[in-house]
Amino acid sequence: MKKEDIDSPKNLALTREYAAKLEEYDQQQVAKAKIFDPKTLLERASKIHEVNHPTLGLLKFGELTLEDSEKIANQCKTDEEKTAMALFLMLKKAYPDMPDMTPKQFWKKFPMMEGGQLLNYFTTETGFLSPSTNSKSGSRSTRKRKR
Amino acid sequence: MSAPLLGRNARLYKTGIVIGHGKNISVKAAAELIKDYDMDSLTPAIVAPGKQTFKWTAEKFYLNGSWMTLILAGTEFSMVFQPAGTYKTAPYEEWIGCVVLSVERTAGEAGGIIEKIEGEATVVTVHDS
Repeated sequence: MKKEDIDSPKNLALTREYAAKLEEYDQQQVAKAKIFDPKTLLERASKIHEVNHPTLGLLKFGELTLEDSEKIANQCKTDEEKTAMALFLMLKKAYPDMPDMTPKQFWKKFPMMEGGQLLNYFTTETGFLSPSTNSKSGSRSTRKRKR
Repeated sequence: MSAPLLGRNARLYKTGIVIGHGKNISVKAAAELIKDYDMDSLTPAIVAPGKQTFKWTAEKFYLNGSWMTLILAGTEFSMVFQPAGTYKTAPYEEWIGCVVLSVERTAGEAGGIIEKIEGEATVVTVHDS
């Protein structure tokens, strides 16, 4: 390449243009990046969320906190009990008039149709109670060790 | 904005025209070792650099228009590092005959940006003065 070509006015203009495009891309990436903000998280966790669910109607719920996870871990033995307890606690925050129940009682009494919809919503939309998934290769997930 | 540094940002050229811009580029030149011994000798009779390799990696490239497709398909290009912004002030380096050997790209990304690029060059010319 000729030396003169390297810094020709056209090439200098193109260089500036392309460098600006890279800079613009970097700025977009920074803007897109999520920023961890514990203050916002604390505010969000104490709020009651309202969602217009297509079949359940106006659904209110509160988020589980670290304290709730301790309750779930200490009071529930099986996965079913843990799921029931998590659902119960999320609803109880938004509907404080709900009677106090054990996970087993809640599991036993809550209607299946709405319970299924709730579970489906919480596991797919909110990221809570994420169900265990099989591996990408299609093999079955390993079983839990018997206690 | 900070001034560009040698070995960090570079212009990409094809037939004398700037086709893109590279950011955070690292380069490495290496050579195979030629080493031979005389019969029964424990010390080498000769050590010399052998076949050379000029590797480079870049954090990001912006490539204009259809150059993205051509470069990813193996079209050769040159990279010019000019810390002073011009070839008139040394140092500057030309990496000639560059080809892309590996690239990562976020799905759905558009606008001529490719990331984490690796490749090699055939010739490196360093102008120090």
